[in-house]
Amino acid sequence: MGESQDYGDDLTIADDADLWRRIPPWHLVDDQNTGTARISKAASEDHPNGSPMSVTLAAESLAIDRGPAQELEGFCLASVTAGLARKLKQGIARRPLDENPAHAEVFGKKTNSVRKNFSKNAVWVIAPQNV
Amino acid sequence: MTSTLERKRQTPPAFLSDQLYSFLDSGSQASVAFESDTRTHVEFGPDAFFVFGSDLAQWQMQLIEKIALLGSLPENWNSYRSQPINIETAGFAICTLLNHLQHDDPMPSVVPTSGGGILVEWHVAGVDLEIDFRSPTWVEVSFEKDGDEFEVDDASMSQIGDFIARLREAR
Repeated sequence: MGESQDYGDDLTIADDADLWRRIPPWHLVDDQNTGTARISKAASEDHPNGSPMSVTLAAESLAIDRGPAQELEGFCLASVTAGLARKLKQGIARRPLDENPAHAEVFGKKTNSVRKNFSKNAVWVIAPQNV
Repeated sequence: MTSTLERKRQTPPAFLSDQLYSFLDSGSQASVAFESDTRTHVEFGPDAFFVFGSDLAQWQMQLIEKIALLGSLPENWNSYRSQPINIETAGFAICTLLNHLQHDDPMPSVVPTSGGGILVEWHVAGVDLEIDFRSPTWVEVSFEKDGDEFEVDDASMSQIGDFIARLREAR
């Protein structure tokens, strides 16, 4: 999904750029192996219509005074880096939206391994206990 | 492997009635006929419900209710244009799990997926087992233990049963 010729990896987005993604409470699962809640790999998928996975470019969002708290109420917020996405053979493209000028898309095949890696390496911006 | 085969012998041929699920007709539950008092129905969102043709154990009802709860999710429940959960996929997941799980198996986490499917996950006893019901005809399984990882696309019923048996053996 999302490997259309319309997409090219935007290298002006640095490897250390943080990419935010909203996590619905449904996607928090009990991990008895670690004793913590983990993010299900189901949280890292392309859109059902085939368009690539949406994220928000954190620095660009903050630059327009749109902080984490302005993401949807009731959702957690997790972050991965653009560098991680590229290691997983994904690209990042800016796709500003009226409601979110810092919107971008992560394109590339979302294999099981890619989805798991996103979830395992994500860090909390808004953790479950703060929702 | 042995435990899986034994379990299949012990399992009734059909946990669910011949009519796996029924849609309410014009919002009238009265339109659905129950053949006996032992039938159980579980709502799946406002417009549909599952019909079960036998008495169910407590753990079975817990599992069914966890999955049926997903029937209430509206479109866009993940804020990224996700679809409502497909009832046929949910019914298939219930049927598959009831036929492979045993009463003392750990209860999995049940997670909706953006395309309307259901992901069932166990992270216990050093095992990460994920059964991803993408549709009523497509299941992907991922099993991880001690650094070894196995993935199966389009998993068969017997493969699903084998992975659940491996989870059981690890406990």
